[in-house]
Amino acid sequence: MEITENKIRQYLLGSLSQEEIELFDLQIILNAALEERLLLAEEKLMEDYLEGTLSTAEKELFQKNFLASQERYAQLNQLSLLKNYAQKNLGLRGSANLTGENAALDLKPAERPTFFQKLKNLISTNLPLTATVTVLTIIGLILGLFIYQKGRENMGAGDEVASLNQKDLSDLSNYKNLSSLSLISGSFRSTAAGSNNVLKKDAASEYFLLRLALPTINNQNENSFNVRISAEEKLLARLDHLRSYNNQNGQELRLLLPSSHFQRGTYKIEVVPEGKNDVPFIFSFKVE
Amino acid sequence: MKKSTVLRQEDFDNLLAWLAPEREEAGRKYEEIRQGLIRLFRFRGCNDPLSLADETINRLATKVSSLNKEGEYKTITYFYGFASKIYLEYLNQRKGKETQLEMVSPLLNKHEVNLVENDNENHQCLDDCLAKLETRDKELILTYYSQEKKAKLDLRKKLAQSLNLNTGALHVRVYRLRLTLKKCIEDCLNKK
Repeated sequence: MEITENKIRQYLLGSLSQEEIELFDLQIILNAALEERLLLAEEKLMEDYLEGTLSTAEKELFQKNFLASQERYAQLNQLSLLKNYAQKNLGLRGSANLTGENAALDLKPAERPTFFQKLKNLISTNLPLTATVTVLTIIGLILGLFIYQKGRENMGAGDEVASLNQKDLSDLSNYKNLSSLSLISGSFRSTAAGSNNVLKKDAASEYFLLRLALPTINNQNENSFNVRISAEEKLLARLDHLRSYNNQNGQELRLLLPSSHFQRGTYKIEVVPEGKNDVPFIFSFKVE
Repeated sequence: MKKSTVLRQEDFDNLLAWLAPEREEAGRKYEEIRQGLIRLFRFRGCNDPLSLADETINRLATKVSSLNKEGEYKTITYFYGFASKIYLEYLNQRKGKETQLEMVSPLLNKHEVNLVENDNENHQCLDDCLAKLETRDKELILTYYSQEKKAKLDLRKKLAQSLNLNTGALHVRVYRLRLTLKKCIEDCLNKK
């Protein structure tokens, strides 16, 4: 019997006659070189299964006979993972532009119709449908924007503050355009430019950065802190497990806060090293 | 399946003598047949092909004195005969386990294939393992799997041409990279 790729496939699916199976089996035992062809055929079969190109009958045989071992099941999973990863990360469409053997692969997306060409094609094929979809999309966008704005308004200060401060604030250059206050515990700080504990509401950016200088306790630097922000004894926001950042003088906490939630008034910030019941460091700032 | 057959030294010596008069040649034939049986059970979709291959050899070894090597039957035919019997026992045992599962859960659809979701751990391990490959190998394997259906065939043809290979050789190269990845991912998952 000639061992063709089609016969190998049928063998793997278990759809050969008994006589053919026996001939195949003996070839597998005797001929080590057949192994590579079988391995590649297995992979091709698995790819076809994942891509949904097996016929109904083949699919049933695949599930019943081929996926009979844990190893094949694991292989299928890994192949699925790899294909999804490759398609997400490369996401090429069409042909690749490839160079010679020793050169690095140089892959470019194929030439695509321009946006305007695609739009023109779309509009010309089905005008009423396109118009309906366009109108619905615009309405949807307007509604979505409205809901988002409402959501932001309804979101408590606490939730928004917590959400903002999950970011890594190490790189201050990302925030150089924001209003910023630098505070020292227990007192107001004045700089050459004037008091730095007052936020001018009208001139404030959408978010502002608070930098809280942390004293060193017993010559040790703590790394994680719990923070409470309040106004007139009313708790506005609570942040746990905040990390500290190094500055030229030691350590500081950095808080990114939404200006919209801070009306005119005085605010108090209590900072306690995590896991300790120490007297908190108290900071305060004003919004005017 | 029957209880595993234990191979005694005497049976093993008889087996080698049966395979070839010279012990070294007999050892080489033994290993070739063993690898062949492992391939057989593996491509028949059996779990633990190594144990099944060894069981085949062990059972034959206990019966070797009664086997007629002369005449129309080749050595390999005897091995195949024992392997076929062991394979049937394996299938019966597997069928029995599936029936038990169905009794426990009648709703279990044995034809249903649920692939593991590409969870974070698997994804992370794949990420880490791809990073360990040479850049060109990583690009090759990701490009190779980046398309589906007809686009896939076209891409692979071009890929092979660019590397001055035929598509068969390209498949083999990528397959070997996959084996490297597979081992790496398994090690990574075991650590987690």
